Amino acid sequence: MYGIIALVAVRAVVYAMGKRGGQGGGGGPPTEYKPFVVRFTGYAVRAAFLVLAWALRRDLSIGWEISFVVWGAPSLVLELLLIPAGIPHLAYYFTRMMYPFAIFGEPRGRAVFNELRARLRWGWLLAPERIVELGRELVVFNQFGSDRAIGAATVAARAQLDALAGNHEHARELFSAVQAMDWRHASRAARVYSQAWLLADAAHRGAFHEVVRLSLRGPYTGRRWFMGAAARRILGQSGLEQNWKLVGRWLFSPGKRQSFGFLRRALATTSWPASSPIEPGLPGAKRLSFELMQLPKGVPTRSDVARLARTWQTVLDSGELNQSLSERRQALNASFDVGAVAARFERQIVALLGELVAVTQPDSEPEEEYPLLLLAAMDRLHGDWFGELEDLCNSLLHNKAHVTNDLDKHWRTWARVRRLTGLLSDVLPERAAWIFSSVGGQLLNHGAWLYNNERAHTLAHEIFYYLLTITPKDDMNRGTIVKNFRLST
Amino acid sequence: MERPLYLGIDLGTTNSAACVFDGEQLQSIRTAGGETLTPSVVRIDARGNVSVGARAFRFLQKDPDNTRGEFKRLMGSKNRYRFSAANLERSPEELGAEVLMSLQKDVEAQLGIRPQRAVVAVPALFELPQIKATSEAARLAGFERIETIQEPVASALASGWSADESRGAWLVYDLGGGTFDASLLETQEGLLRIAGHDGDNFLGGRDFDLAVVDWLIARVAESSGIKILRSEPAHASAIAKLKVAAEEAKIELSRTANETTIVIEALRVGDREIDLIEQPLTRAELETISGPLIERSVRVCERLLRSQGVTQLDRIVLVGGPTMMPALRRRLEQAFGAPFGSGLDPMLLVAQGAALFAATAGIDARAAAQSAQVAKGPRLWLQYPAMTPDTSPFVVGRALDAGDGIKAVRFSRDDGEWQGEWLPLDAEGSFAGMMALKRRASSTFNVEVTLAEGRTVAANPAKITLVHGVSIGEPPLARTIGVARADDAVAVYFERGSPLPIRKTFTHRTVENVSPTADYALRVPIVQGDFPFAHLCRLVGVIEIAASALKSSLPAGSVIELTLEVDRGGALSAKAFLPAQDLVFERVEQLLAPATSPEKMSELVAGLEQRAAVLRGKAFREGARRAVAALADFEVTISSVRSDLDAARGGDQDAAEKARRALIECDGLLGDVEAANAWPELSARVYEEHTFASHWVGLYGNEQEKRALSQCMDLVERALRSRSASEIERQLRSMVRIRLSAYFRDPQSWSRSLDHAASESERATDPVKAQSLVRQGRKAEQAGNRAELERIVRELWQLYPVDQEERGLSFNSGVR
Amino acid sequence: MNDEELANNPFLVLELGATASRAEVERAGQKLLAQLAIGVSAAKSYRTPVGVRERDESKVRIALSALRDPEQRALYELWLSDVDGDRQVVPGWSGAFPSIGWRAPCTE
Repeated sequence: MYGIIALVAVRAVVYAMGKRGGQGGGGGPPTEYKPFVVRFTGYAVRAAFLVLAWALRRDLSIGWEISFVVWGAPSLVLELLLIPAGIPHLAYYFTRMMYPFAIFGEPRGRAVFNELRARLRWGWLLAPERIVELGRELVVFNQFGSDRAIGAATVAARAQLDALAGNHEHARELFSAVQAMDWRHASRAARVYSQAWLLADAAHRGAFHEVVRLSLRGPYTGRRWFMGAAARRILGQSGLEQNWKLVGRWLFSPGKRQSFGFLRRALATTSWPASSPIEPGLPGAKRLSFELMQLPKGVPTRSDVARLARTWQTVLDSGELNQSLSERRQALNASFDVGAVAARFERQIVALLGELVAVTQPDSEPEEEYPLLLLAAMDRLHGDWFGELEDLCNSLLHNKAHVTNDLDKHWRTWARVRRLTGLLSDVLPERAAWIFSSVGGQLLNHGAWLYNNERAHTLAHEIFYYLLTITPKDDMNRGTIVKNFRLST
Repeated sequence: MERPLYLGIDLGTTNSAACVFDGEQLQSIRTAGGETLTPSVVRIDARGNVSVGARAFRFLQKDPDNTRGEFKRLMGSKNRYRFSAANLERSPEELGAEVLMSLQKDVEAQLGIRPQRAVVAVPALFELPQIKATSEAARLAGFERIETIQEPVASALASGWSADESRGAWLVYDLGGGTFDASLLETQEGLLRIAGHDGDNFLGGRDFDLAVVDWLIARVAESSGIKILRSEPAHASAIAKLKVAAEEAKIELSRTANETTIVIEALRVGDREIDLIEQPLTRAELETISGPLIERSVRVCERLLRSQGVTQLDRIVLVGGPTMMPALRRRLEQAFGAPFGSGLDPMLLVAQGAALFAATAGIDARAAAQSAQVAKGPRLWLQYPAMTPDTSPFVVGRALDAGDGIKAVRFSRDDGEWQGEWLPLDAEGSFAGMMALKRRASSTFNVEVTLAEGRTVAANPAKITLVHGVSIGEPPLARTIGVARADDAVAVYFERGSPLPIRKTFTHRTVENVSPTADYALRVPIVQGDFPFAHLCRLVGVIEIAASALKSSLPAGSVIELTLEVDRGGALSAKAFLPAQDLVFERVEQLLAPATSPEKMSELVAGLEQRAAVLRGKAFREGARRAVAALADFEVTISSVRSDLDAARGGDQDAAEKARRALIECDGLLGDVEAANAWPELSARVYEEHTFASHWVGLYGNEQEKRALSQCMDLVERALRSRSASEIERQLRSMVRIRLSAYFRDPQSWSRSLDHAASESERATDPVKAQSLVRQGRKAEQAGNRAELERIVRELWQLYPVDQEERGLSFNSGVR
Repeated sequence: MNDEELANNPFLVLELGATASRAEVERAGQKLLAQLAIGVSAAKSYRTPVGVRERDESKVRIALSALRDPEQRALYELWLSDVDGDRQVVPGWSGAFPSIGWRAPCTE
């Protein structure tokens, strides 16, 4: 039909216009740095089509009607019709059609992404051979030229393939990288999907504290708003949120039918076991430790952990430990050094506190008032995470002799870096300020190298995006970072 | 049902012995000549006939080319012995197999059973290749299966067996032909535990003989003017004769006489001949000669007691022929004040212990065919300890044929004095019940079952025997073992005190690219020690991955899987696996491995002496008594190494091997002294870092950093008190971090870095580029462009081989 | 000292109390080793305050060796507590993936 031909032709024009301004092309919100005129033209043309479609609905044939709608709002068609209905091939070709002159690049990736989404929607068309084919497609164009054209959707598609293959660890890494991407460039569909997947993965495993952590960042969606609140309620944090508030949030989230079960579970959690009074001394401290680890809620809060640390501190300072060790030494007819054993025990307590603290977030209590044991535990965590981060960033310096074009590896390394920095900022925010001073320079260099040598523009841009958020305002490097940031869009 | 039969064999350097244990009593196996000991000597005559033991011993002096002894020390090395008359070559394992076969025949002659399985004792310090060689010898001798046990464990077991009430700390003093082992045992009601172990690999009866030989050489030189040199190959036969004479004299003086005369006729020394040597030797003179050697052993024992914090011994157990020397006994009594274990034959203790161990492990000498008696009754699978110190152990079992319909099982002692209850079977058909054993004896139990229809029949097996005796726990790992990383850290695999056997696998990543064409090897150093810094630990082995063995280029950051394993005897083996190329590397180069040429070893001796000189100076200045004592030990060992090297140049293979192992020992000694200095070094380093950090934080740090730094220092002080090296390392890293963050706030800091980089520009991997960058940097500096300056300096840093100095410290490790 | 290390406490592995005598330790270890050699399924798992755990021969041997050394034993005794009850595993939300439109078979 002429309508479809016209559709294709106009699409080509719009794409060419979009391409001039930046990465990817039409189909997503235009970037901030495209010339205003181009953007305005793009929006105007689309709006014109929709208006025409509405105005001429009685006069045009169905083909033209469809084309007009599609020209006006192609992504809407995709999101509201093709994917929910689970029509994979159509989704794939529709996306490809949206960028008819793109052989490589983000459009391809986006096509794969949409097809996978469509397939997974209902779960019946997951032919393994097709999945392998899609995987190959993603790999093939990774090797050509730059990743200038790779965007969120491509990386998200890669992550989906990982998750389908059962490798949830890798999928988690990539999805969290996508979720954190610069909203001005990354397609919202990909970011929202990544966030949704991460939330679902954490909820599926029962790691509700992770759900809470995830709900604090990423694109603003109703899903995140609801699931965060529901998870907090199940864990018993931040008091009992009123039922009607929770229901209200649920109403704003997508997928209400499936998440009704979750809502019901959250509503059903009405009380938590009150902390029992503990007897003083060593047995009491032990009992409290075990109780905290046995919590039906799954994870304690920071003030719980502080309370435990105080209890242990009292026990250790009172000398009760050394006394009972001496008694046991006598009973066992042994000759070990009580002080050494006590020191070892103390280190084990610190390790236990570290494990507990690693999944909590700071609350209103200021850090100065924490007992020494807890501070030691946080120091340990800090050292471990920081050490890992530094090792990772140091290894970025090596191996720059030749260009590998291994974008997969670069993205994954970046995802790992982000995970560590995320942990540091969430759990130990006061010490996170040192991230910039220790690894900021290396990341800056790495980003520059990626941009110049590997031509991995998107990834470089992400690195600068992140650096901007952590650079202190008065740092002299800020100028460089801002310049790179702008350059790499 | 006959008594069980457990066979234990001691394959010693000079003598071998075998003992059997039947559950109640130990019995020594005697040779055809009625002796309990078989000399470890093998002779092959011109017709190829092999003779072993006393018969061969006679020819040791007369026909040295065809008679070989003391091959135990060379087990596992690649040496082969040449028998010129028969024109054959034999490896030490084959000679050992001959001795084992002779013992087997003696067992058959005495008991009528040809043994198929046995337990063989090996020295505690035997390394893995040597233990494997011993197993190989047993296999060649026709044993179906053998297990090895460490000699100190065996002697400990035998001494515990014969004691009445055992409680307290015992010292097992094992002075054999070639080695000295000291073990500290904790005993408690039949439960033995080796608390600690020490020894001297190069101290044995042979060294006493050699001391007498040296004395004799001096006397001969005085009387006849002829100087016999150990380093001269032509004098070898003369020295052999002197050795035999010295040993005979030593044994005589130990047993009965107060004075003896050494008589040697017609001694050929090179191209000269001495007609007659008649040298009297008194017991007192012998004591003076052997004094220093005895002292060495006493010092080792004292070291052992100190390391375990034991001040008072309850008993000393003597093992080995050379311990018959009265001087030695006197000295031990004087040093430790503990009584000797009575009624124990020092020469047979190890074999007895091996037989007892066979009992605890249930290794019956007869083959499995023996137990296939035609028996009726429902079959049960029973598990129980053949020997246990517990008087009420559990017997656990299960019905093998479900269709038999067994309802309950009962055990009753066949002396009628005890009967157990009926044990019902659970849903799986298994049951467990406690027995009551006769103290210090073997108890046999009848096994009966009740069937579903109500009948009571005997089960299959109808009888089982348990012995109440002693058991021994395995000695744990002595030192923490790990892998050195490129950043001078240690990846700990096994903590000290871990039970053996143990094995772990970790993944590491490589730090550099290796291409197959390069003439290079990636090193994975394995270290032992409790410190978090690799340079403070001692290197015990290296896996070398030669570049030529790679299939393709191995990029930096590739995964490499390392598996370390320590077996029950304490021997370490390691394996590296590269998944990317599917290659496995298993050879672990030891520290001073194949360099057995005496010249190379002399070089190493020189190097060690230099190190020792430095340490000695330091120790004297600081008055560190322990270090001084350890260095004195080192002196003694090194001098013996030098004399061994002389002998090695004269063609003494054995001495060369001994010298090689002594060098490893010396290196370890020095390493210990250096490690003991490490604590002060660690704390000095920490305080130094703290001073730096305070300086910069004071100038440019903010509030938070100041607070963090003082906190760090508190934690460091606590860590120093509790000697927690990993904690100190952590705090050190934190302080460095704080210092750097403050330092870089200084506007001058980048200029300084540029100056430093400029001064080192020759070290850069690309000096031309480095120079041009330095020039650019200077321009930026003058223009006041800090950002540009920083970028240039960071780029410069990339040109310098990062970690190179650190990698040098950590034995050039190639992994992280 | 996380869950796993607490669950590997030798006293828990050998199902003994803190006051067990040396002989009782050896007896319990010997019994468990025998049962494991035969394949009694009751011996293959044991209860801890943080859940049920598996048990095999090397674990029993390591536990025995730890309790024979008085220094290690004193340290492990300190970690015994009389808290009973298992850790309750927080069940995950099985409908999580379908709610986002992901209906693949979850292989993890």
